[in-house]
Amino acid sequence: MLELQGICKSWRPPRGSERLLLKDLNLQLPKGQTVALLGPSGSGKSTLLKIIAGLERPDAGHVLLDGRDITYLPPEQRKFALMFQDFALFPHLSVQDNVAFGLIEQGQRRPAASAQAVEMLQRFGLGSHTRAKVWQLSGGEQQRVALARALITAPRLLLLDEPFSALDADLRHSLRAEFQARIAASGMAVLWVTHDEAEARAVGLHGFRVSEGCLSPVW
Amino acid sequence: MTGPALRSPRWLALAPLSFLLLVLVAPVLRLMVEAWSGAVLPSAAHADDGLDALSLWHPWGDPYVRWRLLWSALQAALTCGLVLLLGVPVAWVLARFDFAGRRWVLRALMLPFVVPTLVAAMGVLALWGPQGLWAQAGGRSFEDTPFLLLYGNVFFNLCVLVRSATDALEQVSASRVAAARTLGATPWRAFWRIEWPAILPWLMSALCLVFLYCFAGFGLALVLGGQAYATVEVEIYTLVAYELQLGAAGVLALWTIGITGVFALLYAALERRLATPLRADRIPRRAPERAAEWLAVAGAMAVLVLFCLAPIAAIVLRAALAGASAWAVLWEPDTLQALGNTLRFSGVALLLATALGLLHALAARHSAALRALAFLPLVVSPVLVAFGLLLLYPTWTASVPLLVAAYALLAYPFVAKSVASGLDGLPANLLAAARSLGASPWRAFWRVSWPLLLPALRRGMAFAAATAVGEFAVTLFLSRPEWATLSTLIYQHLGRPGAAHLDAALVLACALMALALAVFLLIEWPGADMRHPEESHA
Repeated sequence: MLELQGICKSWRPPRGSERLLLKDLNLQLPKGQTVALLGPSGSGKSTLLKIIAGLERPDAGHVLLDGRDITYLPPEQRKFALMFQDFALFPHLSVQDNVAFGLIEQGQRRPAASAQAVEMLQRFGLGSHTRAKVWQLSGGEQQRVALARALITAPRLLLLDEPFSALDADLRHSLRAEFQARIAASGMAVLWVTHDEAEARAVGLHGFRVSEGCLSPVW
Repeated sequence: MTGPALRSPRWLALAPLSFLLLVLVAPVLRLMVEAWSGAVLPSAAHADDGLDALSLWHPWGDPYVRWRLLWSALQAALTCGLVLLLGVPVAWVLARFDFAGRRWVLRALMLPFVVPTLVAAMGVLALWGPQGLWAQAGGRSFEDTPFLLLYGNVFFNLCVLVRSATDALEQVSASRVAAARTLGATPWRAFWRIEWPAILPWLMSALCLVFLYCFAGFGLALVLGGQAYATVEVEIYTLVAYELQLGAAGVLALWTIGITGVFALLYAALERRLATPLRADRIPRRAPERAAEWLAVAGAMAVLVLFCLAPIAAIVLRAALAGASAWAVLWEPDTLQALGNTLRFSGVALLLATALGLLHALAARHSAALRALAFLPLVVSPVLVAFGLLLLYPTWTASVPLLVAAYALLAYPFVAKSVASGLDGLPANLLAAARSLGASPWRAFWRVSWPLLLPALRRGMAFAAATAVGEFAVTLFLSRPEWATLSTLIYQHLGRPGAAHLDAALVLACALMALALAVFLLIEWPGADMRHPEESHA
């Protein structure tokens, strides 16, 4: 179970005074559950995800995983996966190499990682695109590649930062259903950040709103 | 959006293109004809080689000339390797960490672009030469070794690479690096697998420029190369000025143009690939926290001090220690005359370069081909330009208009490039708004475009002025003795025996550096953006 205890984070814009972005924030995320995080732009949702992923450090508070304090553990040692709004696919690598990236970084040999990536892509309906460059794919296909890349390492926690904000409404709807099914099959805990309440209600067993640095339960 | 309000008539290009044709293209063609027409006279020095002096392959058959060509390429390649090795870590520190004085360090990186070539050569000698600070402290002299030339090359070109790599690293997508980290990549692996491939095209582009500058460099090689390590440009100068073998020089020039042309084309191709919009998700800079991070910052600053600041400091120190008698050179009639010539030639050339650069940039707004032509004067070395002018306009040799035209040719690309970048950055909807509010195209240009373009114009003019003030190669070829500039006067002192002349050269180098800096700052200051349009040192 992931647990956040008293997370505080302040931010200073290039020309301006410091403001508290996250104030004494607490959250529990049990295994296998999907929790939605709502909030307007600039409310600190993405910063919270980065703190959980280990990409930023909180000013105060702790991040615990199964009771172990991982606040200062480097991101590569957490075995979480973070999916970005812009997919963050690596443009110089092929689709297959993008998906195999995490496996190779976690110590798997390249041929085995590539074979596993191809198998994963076939399950995602992208078997014919394994050698393509990511920028040759459509938005929906890129999104699938990003999810395949995140899921292939079997992360302990999946963090989704507005995963469908770059897609049009029809595609968003169909992909959301597909994502939910694939995530449910993997059985992992998911923190799903969005500013769209309908999407949040569709995906999350529980929903929280980040507002003025505080977290309040919505359902 | 590029509405009609922003279109500039193509006829504006008439003046700069005619100028390019007369002062660059025609002389280079004349140079080629000289080489091609078989006007090569057997060299007295190599007559017993039994080689076919008429052949275009002659340089590769003559071991002495072949070494010049190979060494020119080798020292350029070695410099590329050195600046890559030293520059990427420095750029990484500048791009990723925020620390006190960072902005000043970035500004100081412009210094080598403003320092005249001959002053830089003097700086290297003052530090590592036979009577330099290192030798005085008991160290060995590096005279007659390739070290002096390589160090001088690094002085000029480390900053080219650091600026380029810093810009490139600031373009790396933060989310891609973050994705790599969450997928298990360590910071080093994330750099190697994500950041390095992303910045590689920028690095290649910068290395093309570095290779061009070093291969076609003249001033540094003339002063620092000595007999053994002079480059092909020095050989061409020697053949023309001392041995009067114009044909042999022409053949060598042809090979030089061919090699620099390949790298210039490579550079142009890379630049086109790099013309992408700036990324929104940049990796934010942060203050160094751990001891290792502070050590990295200190190491980067040490590299910059050792390779970019030390030669300048050495000149000032050596000149200060030279005593009052050495400083008396500043009031000698020759010096005052050289100062007057420097200001006169540079001033007129700057006016001409500004007009040509502005017209070229405006006309080339929507033409990639026209835009590329502004780069031509930076591809052909000043030595070759001067040599071509000598051949094409023999009766005009040593005339002020030809000298000033050559100065303007070397300076105007800076104005054109900078103004073109300024035009690219102009939001099209501002002019559209002005037009919709009733402004004529001319009024819209005058009241909206011009004030917004002014910083870019001033920046271009500042680099153009610094280039003209420190010009050396063309002056050496085309001027009369009474037209000596500060650069050529320094060279004259260097060529005379005795410590007094070396001290005088050091004092004059200080004066020339101060003049170049003052001119640069007078025009540029207080410009906020210190991006260089395109840098050139001959």
